Amino acid sequence: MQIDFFQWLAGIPTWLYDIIMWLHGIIVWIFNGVWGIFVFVWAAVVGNFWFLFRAIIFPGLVFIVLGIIFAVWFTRKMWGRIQDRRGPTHIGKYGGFQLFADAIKLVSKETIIPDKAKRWMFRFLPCLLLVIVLLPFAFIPWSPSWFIADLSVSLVLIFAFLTAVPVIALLAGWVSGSKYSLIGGFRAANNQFAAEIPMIISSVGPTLLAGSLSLMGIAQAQSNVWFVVLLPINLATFMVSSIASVGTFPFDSPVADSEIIFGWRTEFSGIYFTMTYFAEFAEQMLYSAMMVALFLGGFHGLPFLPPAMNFIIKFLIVFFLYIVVTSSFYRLRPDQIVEYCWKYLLPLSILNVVLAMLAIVYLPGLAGLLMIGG
Amino acid sequence: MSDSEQGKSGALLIHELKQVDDTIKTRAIGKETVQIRITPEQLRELVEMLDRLYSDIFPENLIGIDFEEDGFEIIYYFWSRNSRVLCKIVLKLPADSPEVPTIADIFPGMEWHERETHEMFGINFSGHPDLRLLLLPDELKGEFPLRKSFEIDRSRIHESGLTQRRPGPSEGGEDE
Amino acid sequence: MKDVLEEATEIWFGPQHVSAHGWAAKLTLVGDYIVECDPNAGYFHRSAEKCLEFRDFRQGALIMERLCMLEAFLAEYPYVSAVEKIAGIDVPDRAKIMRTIMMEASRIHSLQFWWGQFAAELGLFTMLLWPWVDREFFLDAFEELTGSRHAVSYNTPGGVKYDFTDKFLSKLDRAIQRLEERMPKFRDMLLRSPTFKVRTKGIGRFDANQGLRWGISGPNIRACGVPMDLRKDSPDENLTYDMADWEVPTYTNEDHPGESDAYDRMVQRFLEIETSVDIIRQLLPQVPEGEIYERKARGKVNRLPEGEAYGRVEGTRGVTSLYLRTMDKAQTPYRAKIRGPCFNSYYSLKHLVPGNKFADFIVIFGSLDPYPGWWDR
Repeated sequence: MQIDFFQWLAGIPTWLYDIIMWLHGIIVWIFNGVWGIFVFVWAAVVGNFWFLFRAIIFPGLVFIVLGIIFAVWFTRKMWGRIQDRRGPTHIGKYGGFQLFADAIKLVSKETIIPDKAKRWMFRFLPCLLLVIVLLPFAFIPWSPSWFIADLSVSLVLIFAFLTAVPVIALLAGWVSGSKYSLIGGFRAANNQFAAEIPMIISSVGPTLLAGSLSLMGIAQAQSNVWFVVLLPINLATFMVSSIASVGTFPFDSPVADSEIIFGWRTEFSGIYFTMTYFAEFAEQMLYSAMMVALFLGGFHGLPFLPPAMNFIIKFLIVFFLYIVVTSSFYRLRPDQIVEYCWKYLLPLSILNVVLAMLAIVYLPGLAGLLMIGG
Repeated sequence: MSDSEQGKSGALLIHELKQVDDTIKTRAIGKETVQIRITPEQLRELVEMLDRLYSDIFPENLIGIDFEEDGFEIIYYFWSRNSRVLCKIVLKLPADSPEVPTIADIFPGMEWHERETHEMFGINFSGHPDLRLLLLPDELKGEFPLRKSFEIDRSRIHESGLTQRRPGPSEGGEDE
Repeated sequence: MKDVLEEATEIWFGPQHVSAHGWAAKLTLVGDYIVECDPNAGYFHRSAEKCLEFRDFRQGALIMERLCMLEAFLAEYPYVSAVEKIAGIDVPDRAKIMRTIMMEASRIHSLQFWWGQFAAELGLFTMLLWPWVDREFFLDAFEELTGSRHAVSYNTPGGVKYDFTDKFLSKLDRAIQRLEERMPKFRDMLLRSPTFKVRTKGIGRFDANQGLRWGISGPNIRACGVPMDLRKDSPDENLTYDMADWEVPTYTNEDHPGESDAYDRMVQRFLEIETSVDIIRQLLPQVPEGEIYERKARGKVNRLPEGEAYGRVEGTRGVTSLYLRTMDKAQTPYRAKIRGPCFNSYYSLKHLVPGNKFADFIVIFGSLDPYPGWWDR
């Protein structure tokens, strides 16, 4: 085969041009693709900007995590004041950065997993716990506009999520491979067994009065009268049973340190311990927020303040009540927790619902204030 | 507290003992202490008698003493608050195979005292329900640390450098 | 019929357990109930009795006070008393009364510590810290007197080491005043607290006869209504409890006279503190002028004659005693046996605990005011 050398030589520029055009085509194609994705995402973000902002920044993840950090600091500081000491003082102004320091210390620690533990579950459960406790915050009506989701059954859904918490505690105790953890796990289940029914019955009152199972609906229904006026006993029973459900101080038998070391959390260390620790405070915050929404008028309050501000102020007051309660009673035995919850809390919560109904029937004008029957 | 027991001082105990057995040597020391020297065989009988005589008898102490070749001595202290009697029972035991009947079934409070004396002195309390080691680690089983023959282990002390005199500055050592 | 013990679980309560500070008990559980308790000692054992055989008679008291730092003034006294008895040392009157005052202050401090510890075992950290803040005032006074908060080394054969100063007296007075101010608060937090009542009433009950047989003494047996108190029954000639006018504090629960449960023992501790405050208040104005140390003792303690002595004192937790045996011209004891009051109260868990719930174990343990240093000597 003969090759015309000069013809070949003259063809090189065309050949190079073709290669360059081919590369250009690829680059344009990639650019168009990326740009298309960008345009699509941008459109999605801008179109859903406020939803994403709510989910991630303000009543969402960042706000809640900062809230937990504040709650831990607030609790420690208040406990300190109640107990004749100062609480954290050194890191940051008034020890405000103490929790960051603690978190860095805990996260950087070695995680020790016992030999007898089921490793996969042991790693997985604390993460699951934190997620499950953080999810219900989506339904908290911080204000008529600042909320993440509003389902017609959000109250039921919150209870459904929170029922999983002691199950996780029981599982964590089970897979830890330690007798103390197992005892703590069963005690957590025992606490939930004791406290859940009174808590749900206590929340029946607001749902009946508001005619809605959505937290937003219940909060909006309290524009004239806060439900605490009609259901004061239910507020108390809800608070007590929520403390029992969380498992903090008077009802802390699942993590009773002088009896069973740290209950189902005994074997957790480092980051896993941090997660369970955060989850406990997140649960307390969640119940405080629920109490504000169910009984204390939600975002209604001082008219010159923004509604979210009203909600947060009431939320802080309720959280402070939690701290006072948790630092003034001795720990109850598991069987006593069940006894008191079923013997006193349950009849009291039912009684208050009945009383509220009678009040509506026999006090004319009350039904109009409550906007019953829509 | 009954007033009838106020009168039962140590003299009563000595009197009762004289009736039971003439050979028991009793001696009153000071205001309240009554010292009784008996043999191990008489111990249980005496303790049961104390239990009958004083309604609030309190098993206070059990002391073992090692006199090397002269054997062991065991001292029981019982205190009766109503009668203000501190009853001190002294027992002599032989150096080889010392043995005492237990009184842990009469006074459970003596159970651990006997366990401790057993592990520290090697005195056998026959009939004791549970003579495991109480305070000592398992390595010291059968070593009896409170006997005078127990060598305090100094075999490794030279490694610590405490036994040698520290060289002074003139001898090339460090200044203080 | 199936044997219940087939389903039993054994669980070790300690020694790494957070509230088992230096002890461990093997519990056999059936369900939530404890069927068997085997308390174990020895995790803390320091061979104090053997150590005493190698220390001279001045150094011995220092070892004694390290057995129980909370009641250091009381803990060193049995040894000092036994040495004084063998050597025949007369203690100056001023030293006698100073000893008594400091021992009572030490008792108050120890009981305050126990309030906090027991409350923490019951899960209330507020009550852990409140008495411990007040306790600091006593520690300040001790520091002013001896230069040390805990290891005071105050009593010595022949007298005491440090004289009272005005600054110390004002600090002691401040501590007692603060205690009396806060007493109603503690009553509310402990005796009148409904959750405290439900946790402690009827828990760990024993009657006086059983308690005496187990060798339980001190406030635990006085809570059964037995006025057994060595301060009154067997007054030590080197202490001046007879100079004050006081009654042995006893508590009788009308529901079950002659028996005590954890709640009664807490009430009893309140009475104990009130009595101690009363004694200190009465003794402080009576302190005479004079020497605080018998100079002849300095030579006498170097070598003791052959003899034996039994030093006893009513400690915070019960009868604390020391048997001392010396050979002729002895520089060190031939044998020293320490009776710690908690040795027997810890042993009695074996009988007290079975039949109770697992959660009540620490309540029973705590209500006896045990201190591991006293059984692991």
